[in-house]
Amino acid sequence: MKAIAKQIKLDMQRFSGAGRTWIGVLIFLSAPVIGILLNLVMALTGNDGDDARTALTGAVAGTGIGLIIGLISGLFVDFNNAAIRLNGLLSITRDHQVFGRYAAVSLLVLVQSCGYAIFYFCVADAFLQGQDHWRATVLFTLGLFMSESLLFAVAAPLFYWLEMAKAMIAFLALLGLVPITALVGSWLPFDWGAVWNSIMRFLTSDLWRPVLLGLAVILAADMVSIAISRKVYARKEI
Amino acid sequence: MKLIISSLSGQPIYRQIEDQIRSAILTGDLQAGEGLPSLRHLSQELRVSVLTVTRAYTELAQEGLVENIQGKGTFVADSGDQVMRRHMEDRVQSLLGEAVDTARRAGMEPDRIRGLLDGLLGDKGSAPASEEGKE
Amino acid sequence: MCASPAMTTSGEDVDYALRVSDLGKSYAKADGTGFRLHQVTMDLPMGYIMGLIGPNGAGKSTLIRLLLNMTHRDSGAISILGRDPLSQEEEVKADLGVVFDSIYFLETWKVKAVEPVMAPMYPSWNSDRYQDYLRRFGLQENRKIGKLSRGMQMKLMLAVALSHDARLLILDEPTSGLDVLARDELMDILLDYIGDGRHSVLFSTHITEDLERVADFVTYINRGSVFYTGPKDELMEAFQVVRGGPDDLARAQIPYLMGLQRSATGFEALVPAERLKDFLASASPAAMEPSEDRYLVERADFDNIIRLTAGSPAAADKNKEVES
Repeated sequence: MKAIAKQIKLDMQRFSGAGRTWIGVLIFLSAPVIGILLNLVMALTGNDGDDARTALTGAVAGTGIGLIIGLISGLFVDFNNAAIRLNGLLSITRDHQVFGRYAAVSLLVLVQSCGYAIFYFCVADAFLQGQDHWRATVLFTLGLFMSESLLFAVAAPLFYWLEMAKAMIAFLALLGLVPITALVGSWLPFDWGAVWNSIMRFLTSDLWRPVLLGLAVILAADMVSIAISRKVYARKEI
Repeated sequence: MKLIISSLSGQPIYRQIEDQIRSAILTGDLQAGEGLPSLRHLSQELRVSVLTVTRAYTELAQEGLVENIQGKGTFVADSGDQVMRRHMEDRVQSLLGEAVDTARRAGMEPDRIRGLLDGLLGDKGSAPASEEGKE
Repeated sequence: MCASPAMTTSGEDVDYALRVSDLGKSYAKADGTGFRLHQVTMDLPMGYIMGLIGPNGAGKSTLIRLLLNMTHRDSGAISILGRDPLSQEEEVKADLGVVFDSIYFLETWKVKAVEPVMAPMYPSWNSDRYQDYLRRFGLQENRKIGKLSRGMQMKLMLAVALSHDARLLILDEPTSGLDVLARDELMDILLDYIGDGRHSVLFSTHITEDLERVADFVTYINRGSVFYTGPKDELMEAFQVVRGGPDDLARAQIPYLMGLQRSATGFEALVPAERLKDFLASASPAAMEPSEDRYLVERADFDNIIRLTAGSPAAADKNKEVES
């Protein structure tokens, strides 16, 4: 446990450029804060229609996901550098380095999602119309936390395995598969509307159900991802 | 104690340390019972490896010039000791040998050499007596 | 006769800072090229300094990386401070201070970022001592690490290595990039560090002057194998360098030498001390002068030894030239 805690501390330092963790947190929270301010301006100028606010929500969430990709590459920047040797001299085994990094990223993503939750709570109400606002906020937060965790779960093994640039290309290529899959899926003779309706039904049923499912999905994805990362990192020459 | 180590002389460093300590003992600069610096201290002072100093001390101990007392350090052995005297004698013999060689090369007759030695013995023989007189 | 480590601890069981036995690592490729570290065995008793020497590419850095689990050994065993670095990696590394040949911090960090990063990594971190070293080395907190000279970067790593009560220092080429004063200072620090007999140092270098004074033990690695490991003084006494004119080397003398370099003006041969007599005795009788005066015989220093043995295959080729 101690070694994992060390790795979390180390990654927090790496994330923030060493010694200034609060700057990192600020960067993370800047998007929702700017979003809230923008929303305020929009409300004052009377431009806060549903569409505008949905667009703003999308922009802020997109920024958040972009920041996560930045975070991933930032944490792995040592791998492209002589600084990777720091990993070889510290008293943290490679397994613990992997565990600690997943924990650190989960923590950062959670903090970030909570920051975005405040933004969402203040700004949006377009989603799940007619439902209570708290539920929508929780689901939005969960959605962001889940999608970012899944992104990291996909990316991390690539970064442990490949050189930085190659890992980034592979990761972006995998991301590119998502819209293609969606496109192909929409062509299939399948009643997507019914699927969407059942999803909405599930989300608007008891709140604990989607939350539990979301956390279970994250946990499962991380378990698989950690297993692969451990394996490829153990073989790496640093 | 003064020790000067040359890194250019062909002599190994441990031999230089050994020789200098030996002559310090033989000339009386280091008195019987006096302690030598600790191994690691001397190594730091001279900026040479610990094993090098260890080796010099070990060889001096084997000659009987110094004694290693467990847990206390290394000390100059009593000068009344047989070994010490033998060393002194060896040294005198080698110096005299050198003198005789030089004299022969200069073409000096044995009697002349003896005469010189007697003269020296006469001077040096009276010197300690006069010192004793002063005391 | 020789000061063996056992004697210095007066017969007690010797504690070892580092023991390596039959260590092997192969980077061999299918076409027969590549690099192989082969059956490396060496012991460093607690309280001493061991130098790791050898030409570039001989395997010094690979050996250090193997000690740190940065790369995986194919065979052999390693024990660091009595522990196995594979199964007890975290305990072992907590007791190690490491200096690499180039900086292991991101170059964009400032010097002042190092302490908040490293202090939580070691329970025994001593902030006062670290700050003392920064002052002593003239390291300014506001400088960017990437902007420091190589020597200053080494000093920064050394300050870290000396500030968490490490029992064994592992230094990879610490003296390259240092001027004479800084190298002297480093040697003083190392001798002071091992002063209590409980701390040890392993350092690799190609600047052998440093070693010739302060190292107690030497391991000389040549082309992936250990050529010599043991007390430094024994290696320095094991060989003589014999120099002579171009025609002064007889074929009968070749078997007695271990390394040879020839030039238009003469030859230089590395001869094991115990074979020197035979070497001189088998000089060609055609020469009128007695062989002692024909040759210049000197104690071999590390540079001579490395230079004359490093290119072993080349030396063998030259031997053939002599015979033909």
